[in-house]
Amino acid sequence: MNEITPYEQLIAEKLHQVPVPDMADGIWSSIEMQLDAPADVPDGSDGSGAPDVPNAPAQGSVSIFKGIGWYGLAGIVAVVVLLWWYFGHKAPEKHERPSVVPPAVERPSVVPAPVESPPAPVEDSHTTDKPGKKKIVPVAPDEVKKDTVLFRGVPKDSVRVDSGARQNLLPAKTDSSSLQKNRIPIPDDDPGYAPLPVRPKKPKGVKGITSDDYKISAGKDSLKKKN
Amino acid sequence: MYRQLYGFAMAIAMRYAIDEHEAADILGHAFVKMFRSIHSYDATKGNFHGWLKKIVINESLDHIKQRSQFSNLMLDTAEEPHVNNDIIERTDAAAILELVRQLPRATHAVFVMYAIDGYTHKEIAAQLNISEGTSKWHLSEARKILQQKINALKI
Repeated sequence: MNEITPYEQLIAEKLHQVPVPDMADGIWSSIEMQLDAPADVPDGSDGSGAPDVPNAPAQGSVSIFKGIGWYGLAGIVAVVVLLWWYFGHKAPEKHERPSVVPPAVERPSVVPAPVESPPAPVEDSHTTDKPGKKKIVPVAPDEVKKDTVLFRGVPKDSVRVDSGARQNLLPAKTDSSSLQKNRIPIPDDDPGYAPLPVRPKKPKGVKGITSDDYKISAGKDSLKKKN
Repeated sequence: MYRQLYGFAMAIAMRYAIDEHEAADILGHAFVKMFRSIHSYDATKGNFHGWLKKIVINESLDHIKQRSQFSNLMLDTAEEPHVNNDIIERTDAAAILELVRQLPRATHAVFVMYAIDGYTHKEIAAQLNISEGTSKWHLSEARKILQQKINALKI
């Protein structure tokens, strides 16, 4: 089993005598193709090393050019994206800005709602709230403010105006307590504000008390009760 | 260089291939490997023809492995077939090669490696990733089939 039999030796001799087909040229062409395909990248030719020198810089320049091209494309894309982002976000801001202007006009109208005295703090709260609102909901508050102004001019529907304004000022309700305290000293300071028509609401309950009593009783009691 | 080695290498590839086209394919890949790794040739380990022969045989076995599956078969003992040597001597080499090529692919490879190129069963097992018993089984199968075919030539 482990030895070669005589007939196998004869077969081996016969196989060594097998004529070889003349396919040398065809096989060589395929060999050249296989050798040239991967060899083109590093060398450029199989035999001489001379062509290697010119090929190397050429490939380097091409790669550098391609690299620059990619960087250029990336830069252009980045610029386009930045411009798009800038104008895309700037457009809504422009809309908000006009809305910001009307609130300034409304300030007097809103300030009167808290009544004469607290205009200063109330105005501050509005101004502080408005910029925050501008970023979040710029359009809605603007329209409301415009409407409130118009209502004020026609009749004295201050109640509706105040309700609207207070809706916007809901977060500032905490300030209302402080405003009540400050109302007394400030009313004399706020005569400059035109939106006095709104004053009647809150002053109605306060009018019965003198200015001195109102200051003492209202400030101390309210604070004690709350605490 | 290629021209000088073509006949020697092509004769090896022809033994393992089932036709001339496959032999040409094997030879092309073998020469490509030879040219790419010629720098690794060590003359102290053997002559150049022996080195090229290994490359061609390895390439041939790679082709065979891709196209056939070597099942794991065990064979400890087998009867040696009786073949009339006169028939082989009178038969044309090309006809003998055709008989060998008619063997199953794995059996063909094992028979050529063992009987023609002088590999041992251990070396064949290592080359084809099979056991020595499997190599022996393939050799036994090759002998049986060739006995039948050669005896058929007598008729």
